[in-house]
Amino acid sequence: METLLDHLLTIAGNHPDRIALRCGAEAVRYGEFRVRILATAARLRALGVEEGDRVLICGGNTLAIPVLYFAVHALGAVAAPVPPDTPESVLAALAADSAARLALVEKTVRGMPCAVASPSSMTERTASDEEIKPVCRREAIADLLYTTGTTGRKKGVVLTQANVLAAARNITEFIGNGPDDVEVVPLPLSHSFGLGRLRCLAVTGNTLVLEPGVGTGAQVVKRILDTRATGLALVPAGFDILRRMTGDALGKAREHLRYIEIGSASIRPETRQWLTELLPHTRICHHYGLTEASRAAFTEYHSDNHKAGTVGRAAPNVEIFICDEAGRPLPAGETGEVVVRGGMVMREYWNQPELTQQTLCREGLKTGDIGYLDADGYLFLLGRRNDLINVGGRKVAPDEIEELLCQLEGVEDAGCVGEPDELLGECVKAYLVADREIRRAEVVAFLRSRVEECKIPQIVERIARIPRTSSGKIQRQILRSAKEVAWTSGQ
Amino acid sequence: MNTDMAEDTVIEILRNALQVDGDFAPSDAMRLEEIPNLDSMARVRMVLEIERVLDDRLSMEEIIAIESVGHIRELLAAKGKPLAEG
Repeated sequence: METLLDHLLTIAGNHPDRIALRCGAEAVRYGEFRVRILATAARLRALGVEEGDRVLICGGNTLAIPVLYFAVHALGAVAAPVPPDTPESVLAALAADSAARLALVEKTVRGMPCAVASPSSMTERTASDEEIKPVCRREAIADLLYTTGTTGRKKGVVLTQANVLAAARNITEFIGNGPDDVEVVPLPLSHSFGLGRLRCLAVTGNTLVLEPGVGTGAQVVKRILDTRATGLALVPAGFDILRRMTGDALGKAREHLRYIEIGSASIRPETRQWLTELLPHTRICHHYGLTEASRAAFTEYHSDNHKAGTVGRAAPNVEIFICDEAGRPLPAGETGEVVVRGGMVMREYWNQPELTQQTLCREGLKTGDIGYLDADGYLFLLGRRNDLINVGGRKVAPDEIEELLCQLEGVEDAGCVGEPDELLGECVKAYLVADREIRRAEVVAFLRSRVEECKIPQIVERIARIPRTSSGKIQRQILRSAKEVAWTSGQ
Repeated sequence: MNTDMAEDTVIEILRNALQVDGDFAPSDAMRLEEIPNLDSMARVRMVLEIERVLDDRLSMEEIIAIESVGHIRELLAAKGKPLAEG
């Protein structure tokens, strides 16, 4: 079988009555899932979507999104999932960049350069539903995933059908989940991590329980207990929320929760310890990876407890190298750039050949992260690859926020850095050089219609000057250590 | 019961959770998912605000039971704190 959809349709043929998806009170069995995918594909084709066309899919965790994702694949078209809180202007920019044929968006959007349709109406069943014969080719582009670049300009990561199938197989092989598993997923399906869980569904044929988000955490824990879930996928900040809001209630699931996948950020040592003590029999798998190279490495908390600080060993069917500046592999113990090779490594960046050339090398994909491998093959990261701020697993480019902040009346200069946050790991802290007092509420009101919520600074401080290099680049290390900067808060 | 006082406290809680100033006056019937920008983090801030007002931790069941603006007011009223603060 060459693609995820091949797998999914085979499972649907063999086990039509098994439940594929749950969302709230609704459940969809594999047989029904297959029918909805192929009928939706027929409707997409009627709207003009053809093989190779890009289709933006903008929506939260509803049953419509998985149906649309695989329906787009069934046409040999390219799925470009986008978070539901994407501002109008960004959505239009992504549609233009991808030259999308169609955008599936629930809300009303203006200025879109392509046709727009509602996800829910596209997936509703009718008596006259037709089905298409799916197109399944390994080399076809499956997904175009927009990720935050260091300058704030989004990069489109091009993943082929072979890439996404390889990633799903690698993940499933490491975690060891199977068709009987019931997995709760409060992660957005528009994000690489959540989408990865959906792809794994096509390989394992298990049940995914979609949650609209982490929320206060209480609903997630209740869902885990009510469904007697055997699996859970969550970002580290999600566990901090669960712990803060529901105490040790997750521990009630210890008899049935067989596995957890964690990713998108590092976890606090105390949260890791809490989880391992709370769930002594659960396989707790934390991945390291990028949208460009999904799940490059895994660590399992219980079995790797003796390796403090590692992000794990290479995932199944993946190789990790440490390379010097000339791109030559280095021996164990030596520090260099982390390079990843495997079937899941992206084909290219969309319409950015220079960036692709800079990122892909003979050994694989240059992550930009600095680290070393120990003698046992465990990877340790020593440095961040860029200035991106990791807000609960979502990456924020400070440049994008700074550019917008400088448009606020009275702001002469701005600099943003990541600030430790009790629940999110990091939040955005903005320093402003301004000729007047600027309240945070004003900043929030200004940014809210322009960027996603996670990008809005939680802390705003006035400062005398933003430290910059002679070439004008912000010296963020200095900005982070406020005492070293000649500034006074509120001046 | 001083309903106005409780309502003011509820609105203050939601304003703080949403990090907004100015006009924001949701009705009691408004469900949380209908409130713009009340995402996961804003919901967490909302619970923390309620706990701050009550000076008490909420149970998992109490958190799950908060589905609308009116539910926040009922919770505050049941625990008696807003009236004492007035």
